[in-house]
Amino acid sequence: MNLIKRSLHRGHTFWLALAAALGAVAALGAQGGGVTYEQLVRAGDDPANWISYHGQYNAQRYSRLAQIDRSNVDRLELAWVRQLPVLGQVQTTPLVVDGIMYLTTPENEVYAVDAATGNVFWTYRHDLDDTLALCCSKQSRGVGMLGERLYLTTMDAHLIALDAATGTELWDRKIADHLAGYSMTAAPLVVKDMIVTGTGGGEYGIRGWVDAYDAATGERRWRAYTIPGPGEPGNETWEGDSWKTGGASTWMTGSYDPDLNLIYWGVGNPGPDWNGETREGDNLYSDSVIAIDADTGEIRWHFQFTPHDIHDWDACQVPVLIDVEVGGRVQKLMLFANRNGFFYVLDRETGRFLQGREYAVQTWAQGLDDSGRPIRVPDMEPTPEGKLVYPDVNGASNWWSPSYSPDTGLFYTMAYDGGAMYYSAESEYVEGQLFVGGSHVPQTSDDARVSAVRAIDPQTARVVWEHRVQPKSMSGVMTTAGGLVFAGTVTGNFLALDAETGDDLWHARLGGNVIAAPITYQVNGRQQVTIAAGQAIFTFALGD
Amino acid sequence: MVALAAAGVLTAALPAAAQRPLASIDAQTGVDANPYTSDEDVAVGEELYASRCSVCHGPEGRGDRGPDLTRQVYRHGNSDRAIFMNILSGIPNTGMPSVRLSDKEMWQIVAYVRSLRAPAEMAETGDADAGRALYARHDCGRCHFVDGEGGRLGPELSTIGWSRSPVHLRASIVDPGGDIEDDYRQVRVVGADGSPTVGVLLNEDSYSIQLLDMAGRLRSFMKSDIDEIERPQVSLMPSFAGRLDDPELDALVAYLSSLRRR
Ligand code: HEC
Ligand code: HEC
Repeated sequence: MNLIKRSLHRGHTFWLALAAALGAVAALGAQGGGVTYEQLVRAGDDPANWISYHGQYNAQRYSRLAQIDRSNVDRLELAWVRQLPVLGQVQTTPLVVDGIMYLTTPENEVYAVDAATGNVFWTYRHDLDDTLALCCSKQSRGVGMLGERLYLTTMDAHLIALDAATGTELWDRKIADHLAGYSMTAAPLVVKDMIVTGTGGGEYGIRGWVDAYDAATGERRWRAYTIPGPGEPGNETWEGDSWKTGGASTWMTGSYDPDLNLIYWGVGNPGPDWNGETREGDNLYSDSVIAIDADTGEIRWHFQFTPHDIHDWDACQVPVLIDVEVGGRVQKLMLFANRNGFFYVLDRETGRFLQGREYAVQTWAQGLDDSGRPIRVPDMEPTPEGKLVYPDVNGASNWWSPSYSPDTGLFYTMAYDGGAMYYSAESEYVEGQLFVGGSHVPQTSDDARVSAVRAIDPQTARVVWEHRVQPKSMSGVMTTAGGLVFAGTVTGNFLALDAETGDDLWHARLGGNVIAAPITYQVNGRQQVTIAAGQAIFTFALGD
Repeated sequence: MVALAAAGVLTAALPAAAQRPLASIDAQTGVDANPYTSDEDVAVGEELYASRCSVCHGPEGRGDRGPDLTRQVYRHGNSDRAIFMNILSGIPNTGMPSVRLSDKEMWQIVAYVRSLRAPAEMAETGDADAGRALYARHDCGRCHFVDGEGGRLGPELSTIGWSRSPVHLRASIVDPGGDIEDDYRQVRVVGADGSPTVGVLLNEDSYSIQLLDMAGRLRSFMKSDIDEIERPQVSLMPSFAGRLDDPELDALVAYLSSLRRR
């Protein structure tokens, strides 16, 4: 046996002694075990780890970590960068479990990296089909984790289980026909022993669903169609056979209430997007949030934000769940900053509308009635000649994660004030082809593009402060017990705001679009903040 | 598809498209059928094969650490063009490198590869079912994944029948140290307190080292926190020489050869 010994740093005995004295010799990496369902339920109690896309089932994207706070955030320094050799925009929300970070790239690759150094443990690459039916760019926003397994959904509609320690593929299930327009870009939601996923395809005339799969085997447990079939309540809200190709995709990760056993999922636009003539009716459950029984897949209630949408304002935003005390009674609420420009507060046990108000510039509705239904301004439909309407097609907000801080009692979201010319056109359904019935052109000139981080008080549904960013921004936000809101901009700034006032306390120039949401966690007792920008992952920690 | 890459090698993480060198005109213009198939071409191809391919695919294509090419049924494509592209670009995340030659030379190798046939006496004789039982009895699954079941220390074997020849499989079992996979180098990190951690090296730079320990966990150490790093040049796989007789070895090799998940 040929031992090549290499002794390191002789002469550094002082440091060694110090390190030993501090007991700092422990490995930086994981001590294993993975993630249990109980941990997912109690994720808020364990802020050292970020174990699911939203951080917690309630999707508040809030962390109790407070090492980095208002007083010291200006000492935040780069800890490491991991460049990813891909062409597309990295939009991943990484997971961090026991010092190991799991992230995805727009090519459906998964990386396991050391959260302390950014060094790579392993990479996995799904053999993605060359032919993809995507409305938008190639994307992959993250993985789900249960036990020592990671779960990835892909743009060619596979659900894949990986061994978290090695990246070995354990199974690979084709769950829908990607050539017919089904595709997945979101991180799946782990609920109990199930992997819950939706699908993209709202621009391809699919019939949307939310599915649950057995985490051990990949067998399907249930499917909740987001468009009711014939004989089911709601099917009558679609003219003729239009329900068959009505879209209602489910392309973002939902949230979950373990006590109520309800999974909440945002549902996408009806198709064709900009021409509603062939699908008269409200088009349920498009542009709605649905509450699904986690055991049976039954839809318990729904709330539709934009009945008979003709602007592609799908409701694939993140449903944020909060509990507030009102008159001695705990009210279980859902907060929803919709793409259509309105902010909603719902009772999440029943789906009842409590209040709502606009939080961004919109010109299509006079307001909401008592049931939360929009009171429409006449003649705002797309026309062959074009019609200017606010918000623009990207929406007042979109999939960009919002956040809620229990410390301030405020809800935070990136909002955008912009309009678009909406054009309608004829559209015929052909499997695997775009089915959109029109087009749109943004109308706001570049320098007039205004985005803002807006803080909304759920008690009044009013915006209490805003922090404007220039130009338009599409990042998620995160809040921490350090009194901070983290957000980013498409021009590559990453910033920390005072959660009470919106004041800019720190920012860094990352030189690549920030179209992702931040996370925070601890490694070796040190709080770190990580954000994807451009084709890289940036991690910050306090300097000494 | 599985890619367990030694992460230090950045190219292993590149998407296939980014790895494709495109200097070849035939690759870009999409020539499908081999334009060079005369006996002369095959003869030139044979010479080129001997110098560029036989190290891995063995003399006369019967395989070594690369697969047996005489079987004429290939995982990465059976067409002339597929073989041409595999030579030109290599096969990402496998041991098959890109071998850059002129378009004509690559086609000549394709002509030779196409002409390869296994001699009758080379037929695999082992009993794969008996081999599966031996695999279980010797607890090979403790360190290897097959179709989602197993351990982490060694390479996944679900597709080993595609990637390796019987010759190589046999050698892996009786002489594991003979040809240690680059991705499976043993490393022993000794902490300042003298406590060792043994495992498979995954990544290393001037400041830190990452490995998969014997318990199958990912570990990372700052070099400033450790005393020394030992690199025993032995395989983490125990040798089974002497523990299996010849028919058993044939059976085990036949079983491993049958592991050809797509
Ligand atoms: C350094 C070793 C190495 C060299 C040199 C090498 N190969 Fe390979 N080759 C491999 C390995 C390993 C594989 C199996 C890839 C896998 O895991 O599927 C392979 C696969 C192949 C395949 C695909 C087999 C299949 O089942 O699809 C072909 C064809 C091939 N090699 C031809 C060649 C030719 C021709 C050359 C010389 C120009 C060559 N190889 C040089 C190691 C090598
Ligand atoms: C203690 C863990 C361990 C056990 C038990 C073990 N192996 Fe391995 N095996 C490894 C490691 C580590 C490697 C990679 C290093 C090397 O190539 O020597 C390996 C390599 C191999 C390879 C070569 C793979 C390749 O890509 O070329 C084969 C084949 C193999 N093992 C088969 C077996 C069989 C069959 C058994 C049971 C009879 C077995 N192993 C038992 C750890 C183990």
